[in-house]
Amino acid sequence: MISVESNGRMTNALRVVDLKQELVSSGAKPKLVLKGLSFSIPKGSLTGFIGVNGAGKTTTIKALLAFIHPQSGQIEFFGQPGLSHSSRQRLGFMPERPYFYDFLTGREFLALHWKLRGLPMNQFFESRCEEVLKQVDLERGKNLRLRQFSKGMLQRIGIAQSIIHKPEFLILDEPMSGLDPDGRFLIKNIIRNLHSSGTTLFFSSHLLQDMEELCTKLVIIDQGEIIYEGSPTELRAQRQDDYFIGAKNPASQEMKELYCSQTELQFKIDQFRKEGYEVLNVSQKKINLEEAFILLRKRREKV
Amino acid sequence: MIQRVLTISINSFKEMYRDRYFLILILAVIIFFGMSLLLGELSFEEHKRILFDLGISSIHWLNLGLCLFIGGTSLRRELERQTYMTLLSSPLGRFEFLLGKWGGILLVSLVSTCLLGGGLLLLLKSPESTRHFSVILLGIFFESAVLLSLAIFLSLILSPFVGLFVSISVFLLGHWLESLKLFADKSKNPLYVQFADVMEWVFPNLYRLNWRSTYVLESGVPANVGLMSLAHAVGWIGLLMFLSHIVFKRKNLT
Repeated sequence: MISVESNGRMTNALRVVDLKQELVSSGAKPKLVLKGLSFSIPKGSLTGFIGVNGAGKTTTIKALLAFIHPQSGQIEFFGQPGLSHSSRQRLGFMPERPYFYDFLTGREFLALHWKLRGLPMNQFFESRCEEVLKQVDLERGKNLRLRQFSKGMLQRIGIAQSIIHKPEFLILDEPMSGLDPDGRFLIKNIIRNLHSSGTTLFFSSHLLQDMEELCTKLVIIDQGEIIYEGSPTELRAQRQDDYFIGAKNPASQEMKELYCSQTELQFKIDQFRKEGYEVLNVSQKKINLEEAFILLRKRREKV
Repeated sequence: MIQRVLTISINSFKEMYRDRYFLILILAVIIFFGMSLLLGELSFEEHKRILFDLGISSIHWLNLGLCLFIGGTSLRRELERQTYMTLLSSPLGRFEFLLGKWGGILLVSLVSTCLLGGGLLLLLKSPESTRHFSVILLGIFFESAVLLSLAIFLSLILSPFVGLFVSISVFLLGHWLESLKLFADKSKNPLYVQFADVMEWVFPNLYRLNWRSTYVLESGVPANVGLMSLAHAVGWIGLLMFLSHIVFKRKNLT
């Protein structure tokens, strides 16, 4: 779902070009944690940001939101450089660790974020508050202090604050981490519903199964570098040895099995036949995102 | 911008109001008032003076504690607990956030000063001194505002313990500057005079806002002296908040 502007140019909700970030810790040499990241998030997409712990996901998100100042690079929100005031109005964000003001009630917490967007506290807020709390299944948390919330409830109130103003673009940092299966199911449904209502979503996670179910696009980061940007289907198709050939030598009864890529397939079959083998089975091996991700990282390590 | 700053201020106010430590502090001051009353009853002649001295000192110390301790830890707590994240991703600028936090603590200081000051005035039973008493409270409030600005600035560049130590040192120096100047003038030593002048430029002269005396309660503060002192405080608040803004703007919020 990529939107196209009236002049025909494809538009992005976010574009990052050559983003570099150094981490300075006392007594140690500065370490480059983001090594020239470049990627884009098309409007209307549901993009997953994948990486193992320490790959640079949260650092990237912090740089995007101007919490940290990158050494170099270019960040554009909605075609405008940097995170301007108007871009912030169109943006929603939920951090990885849902530490919010625990002295506030659910309603007060949403009111705080509503007012920060310059929106008036009127009947519309009350109805929007009810609507959002219902959307995240948290109606009972309206008048409850956040310190009485469970982890799952905090995660959901975090999502509620990020969507209270109906943002066009939503950034979620690990929205499903630490949740039980019920909680994850609920968050996934919220994400799905937001996407189908036209919101652009960018969320980080290392739960690949969830990514596979939800995302239309993936951005994979490893050791501060983007190693893949594209659709989950393309990623799975990148596997080199996703065809299985099973053959048997009728004379010696010897069995041979091998995996090969689509381009090698015909050559390998011919080779078996030349060697006197009878090809018994040729099948395409379906791999999941997790396997594709591991393979991608292994290939990179070899390089 | 004003709405956003106010939103943060009211939120900070709410945080401290709902914080039990703050209520304990207020309770401690009320107990102190009670003790002042009791002590005052023991001495017939000095009853009013003792009540005033102890009462006004407790309001002063409460404000001091509030501004130095809460001011020195408030921003750091936001950064450590990462509660700033959802706020600063909204159209709230870093300076607005800083100003909001400052305003919230100051609002607590203002409300507690007014409430406790009003209570003390009732105990003093001298409605004719209301105007002068208000000026004394104004001095306490502006001194608190200077120290709060200093505590916030130091919390951005130093560790909490060192920040608190420096804040208390500046508070003590600020009250000592007037004596330093007096001794320098008496000594007639140009080097000593110059040193006193430099010190007055480098540190805020908090003694200028020290109107906590029965003399002021009876006679008030001359308008020009009062206004100059308040302008001095406003200048320092402006400078410290500007420096805080510069540091906070460049800070990587990890």
